Amino acid sequence: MEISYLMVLYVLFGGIAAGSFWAAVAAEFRGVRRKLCKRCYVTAFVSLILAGISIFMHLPHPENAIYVFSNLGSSWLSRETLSMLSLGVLAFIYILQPMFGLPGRKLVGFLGAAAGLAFTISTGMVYVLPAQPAWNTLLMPLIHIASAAVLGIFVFYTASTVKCSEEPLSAQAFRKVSKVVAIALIIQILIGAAYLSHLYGVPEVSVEELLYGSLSPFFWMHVVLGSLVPLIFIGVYLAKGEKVISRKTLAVTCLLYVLAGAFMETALIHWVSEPVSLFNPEEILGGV
Amino acid sequence: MFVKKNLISTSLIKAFSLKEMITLDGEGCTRRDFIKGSIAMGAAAALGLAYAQASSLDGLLKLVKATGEAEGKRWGMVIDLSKCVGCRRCVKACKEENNLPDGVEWAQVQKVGEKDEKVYWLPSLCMHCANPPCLSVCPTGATYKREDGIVLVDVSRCIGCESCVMACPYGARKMDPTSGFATKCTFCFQRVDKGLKPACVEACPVHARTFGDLNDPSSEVCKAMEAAGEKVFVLHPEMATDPSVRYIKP
Repeated sequence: MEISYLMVLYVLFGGIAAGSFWAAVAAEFRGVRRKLCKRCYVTAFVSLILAGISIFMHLPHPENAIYVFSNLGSSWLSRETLSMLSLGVLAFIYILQPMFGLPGRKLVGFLGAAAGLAFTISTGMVYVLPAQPAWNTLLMPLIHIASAAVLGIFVFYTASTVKCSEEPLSAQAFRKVSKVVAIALIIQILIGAAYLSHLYGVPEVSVEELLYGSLSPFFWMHVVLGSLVPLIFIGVYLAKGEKVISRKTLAVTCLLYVLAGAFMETALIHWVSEPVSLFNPEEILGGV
Repeated sequence: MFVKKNLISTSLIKAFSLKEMITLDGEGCTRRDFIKGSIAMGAAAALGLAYAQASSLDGLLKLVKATGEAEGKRWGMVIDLSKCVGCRRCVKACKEENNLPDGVEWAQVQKVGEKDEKVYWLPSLCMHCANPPCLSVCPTGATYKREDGIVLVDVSRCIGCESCVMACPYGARKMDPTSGFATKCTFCFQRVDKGLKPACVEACPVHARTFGDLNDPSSEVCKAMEAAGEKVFVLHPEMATDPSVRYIKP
């Protein structure tokens, strides 16, 4: 299937937005320093704007987007747009709250995180179509939630290494965040493996093409760069500490690899899908 | 194995015991608050989704109810595959009638295979489903269904997102590369509304296509299906789209 790279960018930025907002809210509610969290929710807001620009540029007729909420009853695309817009508004309020001393921080945080969850679920559900057997699985929303969570955690991880007026995270705290990051990556790998096993049951898709064929360089780049390399780096850091790799190098390198992996993942999801066959000759002609 | 499992659980618990790490400025909420919040957040998201699903189901039920009413017309077509010779006159007539640009064909003809030294073909077009997947995924409501069952596109609402193209199991939705709109066969409603038959039906030299009201037992299309008996079939019945285009096996 042909893909639009703007569409891939939209999914990527959307994932960063939702994930960063989750990370910011979870961290802030548990008492993490405000400046570190602020970096995450500002990242979320900026990513959401970039996602909006990407999808706007992708559509041939964005001028008709005023009707996009017309089918909330059954269209996941309508729901996705609504939840994305809600996340944007709530993230904006979340940014403004400390500046103007507005109340209801927890409420806005919870609602924003819920909007982010609804957004990633909707993004995944848009793909769940019986006519596209490769996508017709509830693993699609799970893949998008996992991808957003990993991207968000890595944004937080990287943001925690940037110097600011606040006290940096202690070595012990950074190690614990590293463990959370590693667990998130492992969960993502497991979901990826489950999706691969789903593809094995889809006659329209050639898994061999993905593993050894023309798509294999992209598939292995996604697996190796997006998951294994960051996991190895974090493992080395946890085992050897900062003697081998500095926090900043570790976080920034891993974030770049994870971004490349997430880009590759979305592109592959589009590449592997083939529509269901129109008919089965044997059923029509009877045993021919 | 048990030890390994225990180790993993312990490290998981440790990794999530971030309170001492992240309660640095003393303003953090307790673990209980966080869990309560997470549950509330999850419940809100689940309620939202449940509502969305419920409205979707409601919409579907209304749709099924509407199409189940036998009072009005329901335009449909039956194609006898034993008659089709694959001449593609239907494709040409469709292009001419609807003034389609190069590269866009609403009607198609595909080879099925050979049996007893005869080649069989399968003409396809929009199935004008009673439960059209293209309609339920369209975010703007550009795709709509008339009371007589004809599924149409209001291009003044189409954003060109291609959701309908992806959702149609019959490959009937086509992106018009010149206009950027998702287009489809209209059952030649401009002709049907004047009491004429669709261009593809008129053009077929072997009368493989029969068009008429599926809700009228005395119509040509119903009689053709009745005569064919068990040979009548639809494409992708497992998708429960209830197509208005049916086929007769050779």
